Amino acid sequence: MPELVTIPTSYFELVVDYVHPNLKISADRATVIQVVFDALKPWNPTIDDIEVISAGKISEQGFTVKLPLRSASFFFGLAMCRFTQDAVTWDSAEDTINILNSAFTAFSAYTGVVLGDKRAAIGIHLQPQKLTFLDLLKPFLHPSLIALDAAPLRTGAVILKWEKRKVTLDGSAVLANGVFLKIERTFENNQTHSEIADQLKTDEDELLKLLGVEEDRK
Amino acid sequence: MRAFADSQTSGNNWSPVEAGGMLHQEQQRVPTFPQVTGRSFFDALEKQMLDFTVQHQAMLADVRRHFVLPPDPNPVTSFLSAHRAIPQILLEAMGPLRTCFGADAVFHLRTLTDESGSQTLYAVVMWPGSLRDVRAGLARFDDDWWTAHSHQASGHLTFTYELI
Repeated sequence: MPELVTIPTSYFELVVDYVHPNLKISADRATVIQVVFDALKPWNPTIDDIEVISAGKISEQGFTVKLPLRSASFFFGLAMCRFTQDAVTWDSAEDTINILNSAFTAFSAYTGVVLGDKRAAIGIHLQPQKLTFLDLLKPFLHPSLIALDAAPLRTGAVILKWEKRKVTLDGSAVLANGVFLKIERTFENNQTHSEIADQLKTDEDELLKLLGVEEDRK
Repeated sequence: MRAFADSQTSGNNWSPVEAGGMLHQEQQRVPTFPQVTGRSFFDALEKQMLDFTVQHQAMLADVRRHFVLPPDPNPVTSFLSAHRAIPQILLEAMGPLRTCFGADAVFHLRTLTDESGSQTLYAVVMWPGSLRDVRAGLARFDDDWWTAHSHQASGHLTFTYELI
């Protein structure tokens, strides 16, 4: 029987590189911000949720628009854009997809930027109800490595990387007795946000099954 | 406890922030001099309250790193917000708790409300070993640390155990 876990902390990140950097965004910044701000209007950002970043390397400059009601934040730079959202659940995935579609469609249409590959990541912190976090991690740590030292094992991590996929399994730095699971994938630029969500959901289900856990949704 | 030193959060800071004003105001701010005498408690009260909120949220995040809380929305978070001294006591107790129960012990936080409506917070060590060992650990914790510090919690906090 799978161990029941809660997921008190989670986040989603989507990074999209432009096919070519677009310096016009810097020159025409106010209008670009207005276009994105208007597109995100249904999620009630205020003027104070906009931040212009004009310091640092040119690749780090741009602007952010936060959606505090959704714990979400966009960064639009001259060569890439990034979306992050905290406290994500699969129940709220459709809302997230609508936010992404609205912002990226308006941004691309106005600036003419061609969006490239999409790098998506979800990070979840699992808290087992009965077992310890090490009970969940240990099956993935090779016994010969654990036997290197006679002292009790305190923690461990596993990182696997493929051409377009990466999985990180670690103890949580945020929660007591927590396991941190990060799933990363690179998607083609023509894949929709719904397809990305479906794939990440499949990946998450597969990994939770491997870990021998099930989310307690009560 | 993590093994790999990579970011495990989105990096967003959702603490309330004071509106900074327009960019030109930030850059062309009139110099101000610290007031050292006759400062009222009410000076910059909103800023003070904001600072307290940010500090409290940081402390709650620290508590979550050491104690397992029930799923949100949970009464423990409300309790810790209503009893602002308790998070600090819990964090200070972590060292002695680890000494008495071991570095790998798991601690849960729970609240219980009695018939009179009075609420108490329980810090519970989830103990996989024997009853005798956990009682000995609790007695040692009481003698070494808790007896000297319990007055700070004003009777709102109890350390106990649960056998698993």
